[in-house]
Amino acid sequence: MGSDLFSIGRSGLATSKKSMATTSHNIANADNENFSRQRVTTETNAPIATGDYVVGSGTNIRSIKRAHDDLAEKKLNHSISSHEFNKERSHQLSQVEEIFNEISSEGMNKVLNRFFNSVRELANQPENEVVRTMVRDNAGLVVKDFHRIDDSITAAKDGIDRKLQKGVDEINGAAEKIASLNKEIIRLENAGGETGDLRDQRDEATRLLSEYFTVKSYEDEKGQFVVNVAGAGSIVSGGAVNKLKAAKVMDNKGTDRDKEGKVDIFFEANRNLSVADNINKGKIAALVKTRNEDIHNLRQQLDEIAYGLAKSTNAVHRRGFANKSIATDQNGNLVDNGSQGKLTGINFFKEPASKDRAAEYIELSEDVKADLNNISTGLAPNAPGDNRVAIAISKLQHEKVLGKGDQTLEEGYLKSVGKIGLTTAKSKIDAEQSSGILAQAKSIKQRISGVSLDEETANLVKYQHSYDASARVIRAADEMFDSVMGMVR
Amino acid sequence: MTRVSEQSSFHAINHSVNKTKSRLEDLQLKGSNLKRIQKPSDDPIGNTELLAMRSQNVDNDQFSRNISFAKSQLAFVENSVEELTNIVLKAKELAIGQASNFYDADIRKSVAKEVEQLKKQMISVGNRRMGNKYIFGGHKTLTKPFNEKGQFLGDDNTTHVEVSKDFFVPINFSGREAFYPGGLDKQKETAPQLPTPSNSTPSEQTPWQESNEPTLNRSLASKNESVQGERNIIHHIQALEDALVTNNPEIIQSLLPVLDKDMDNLIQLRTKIGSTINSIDNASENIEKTNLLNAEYTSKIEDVDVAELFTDLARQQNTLNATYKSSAQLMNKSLMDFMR
Repeated sequence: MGSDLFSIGRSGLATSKKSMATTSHNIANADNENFSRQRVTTETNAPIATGDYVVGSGTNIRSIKRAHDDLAEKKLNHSISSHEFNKERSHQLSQVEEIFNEISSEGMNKVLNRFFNSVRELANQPENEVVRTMVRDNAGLVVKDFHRIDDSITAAKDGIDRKLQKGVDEINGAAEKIASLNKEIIRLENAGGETGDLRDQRDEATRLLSEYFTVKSYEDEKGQFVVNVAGAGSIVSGGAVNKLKAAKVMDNKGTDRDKEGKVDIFFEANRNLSVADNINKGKIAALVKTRNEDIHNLRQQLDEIAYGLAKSTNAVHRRGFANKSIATDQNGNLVDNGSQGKLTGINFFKEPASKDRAAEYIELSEDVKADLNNISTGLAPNAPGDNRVAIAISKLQHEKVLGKGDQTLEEGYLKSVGKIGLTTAKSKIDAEQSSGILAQAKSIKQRISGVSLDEETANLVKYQHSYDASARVIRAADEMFDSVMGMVR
Repeated sequence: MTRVSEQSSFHAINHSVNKTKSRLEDLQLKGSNLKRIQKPSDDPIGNTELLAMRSQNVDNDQFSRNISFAKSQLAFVENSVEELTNIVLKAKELAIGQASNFYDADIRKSVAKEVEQLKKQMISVGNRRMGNKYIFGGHKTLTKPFNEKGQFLGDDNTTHVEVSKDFFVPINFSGREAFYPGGLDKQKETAPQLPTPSNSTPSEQTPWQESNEPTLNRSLASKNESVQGERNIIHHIQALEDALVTNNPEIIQSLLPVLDKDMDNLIQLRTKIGSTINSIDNASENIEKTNLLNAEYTSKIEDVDVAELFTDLARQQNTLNATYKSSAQLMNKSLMDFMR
């Protein structure tokens, strides 16, 4: 009987102590975002039948469980993927947008406009050398701005490529971690150990993956934890990792520019199949979409504008005559003895070979660079006051020279700027919205799994009291024991 | 009852503080330069409208410059034409006086001297320059349009200037138009013939697709002076001088209607210049009106409504303060405080 009391008291002491330890563990980890609070669950010991009575024999610890809700966790992961997608996209687009921001600075629209107006000024005074210089300088600024935009776009694209590569490294790191945790968890669970903290770590790694893509995770029938890249394939299954790889690939079916290579993503096991486009949500999808759609389109439009400007200006300019005295016979036909260089048919810009990369390669023609008098203003030779070519070039500003002749240069450019502005604005709104949803998902998860210090404090007091009470039980048993011993003496 | 954990309340506080703060920052930025649009995504449509408007303004500035340029040119041309008119008038007066048989050869000779002066004056007006440009040379602005014999060496072309979008005005008149009555038989074009596909070539052809060599238009034909035999005012005055020297009143008589015609031609030209200047003034007024409208619209797009901005700013500040206060309440209290 006495020994029963001792063992019951001892079981109470042990349970309270373990509960207090767990509570302390919770308090210690209160600031760890990835920690799930743990609870000691207890059960009664097997009752002992003595004679006609069945008497309880104390308590024991059944398990230490973490407070976890799989659904809330999945919802959180999903919100992370969505939000990271929007955030990364809006971040990338804001950078691209800045290239086209000429609210308070110079930009393509301004320099292009200035170029045409300088030609207009030249039409007023075709004889004036200074105005000619102005035209050439302004054309130079247009060229420079095309190069600036083109370089900036290339830099943005390269930045995305680098980010993709770094992202894939991080993904592989997290995948390896998950795989090794999988092994550890199974080993410990088979040995009957507690795995709450390890599972927290595995959830943390899975959340990290969710930043990059939509994660589909589940435990298969054998208890293996599997992580899938939604839409692409499994990256972790149990202890095995199917690594992703990011590398520059040469695309021989794309445009010339793609031949130089862009970073593509595939599984190491299957290097021929790109999964970059299949990945949805998360940073990876944001980067790929921004690069393959927004930046690609912008570049095409820019090339189109550069091509249209150079081609149309050249077509008009070639019909003019250089500002030189040109020998003619009595019928007015040119007598070109070749000693004066080119007299007509002069290109203003270097004639672009193709639309592709026109913005990168646009340049003033060598003739115009070499001699201001090669800027042709007149439609007839030996007519220094003839301004018809100059007027015609300045009219190109309002001429629909882009595409199938349905847009002016300015309309084309403003369309690009408008589009990037709209896309950026939308991505910002999306990001703000998804950050709200993410905050909500986080708070739902934290409500379930997070540590509340108030709660833990109360628990601590509670367990302390239990401990004290159990100690009293033992003392009582001790006193009883002493009494019995005293009887014997 | 909802469970509240340290992390969930921390996240809630963080989220609401960040949200208010980022709004405040945005308003602050707008307040710092009173512009509603800081970057294209702030108002994508407004931004493109703004850019289009700005280039229209720059265009209009250039058109305004063109307008003053054209006006000064035309005023100068008008002056010269007026001078020519006066010279012809003078010549005509002299011719009327000498057309009768009243005067003898000696007097006619001395009058001839006077007429010779008139002729020289006329040539000098014909060779007048504005800046370094000969105003009557057509497109040949850098060479003298008249030699000392009064022969016209320029071409028939008129220089046009764009004074508002697609509106061209002539800023000079060829010597042929001023000096040869009916010399330019063709009806003058009001806009220059430009080497663009805008209205001449079929629209499906883009400007750079045509690769045909430039065809030299009629301006070149005038080079060999097919109308060289035709006589101009200078020649008429020369004829008057010759007739006076040779003392031939019949010829003088016959020159009277010719000089009348010359005069008519010059007066017509002046009328034309006058009406051109009028139309330039109209264009100028239109540009000013457009500029005014544009300025108003631009301001509507890009400027912030100051009153609205500052009420918003104050409101967001209040929200932030409230957030801080309530957060402080939540964060500083703990069960620990009551367990001593």
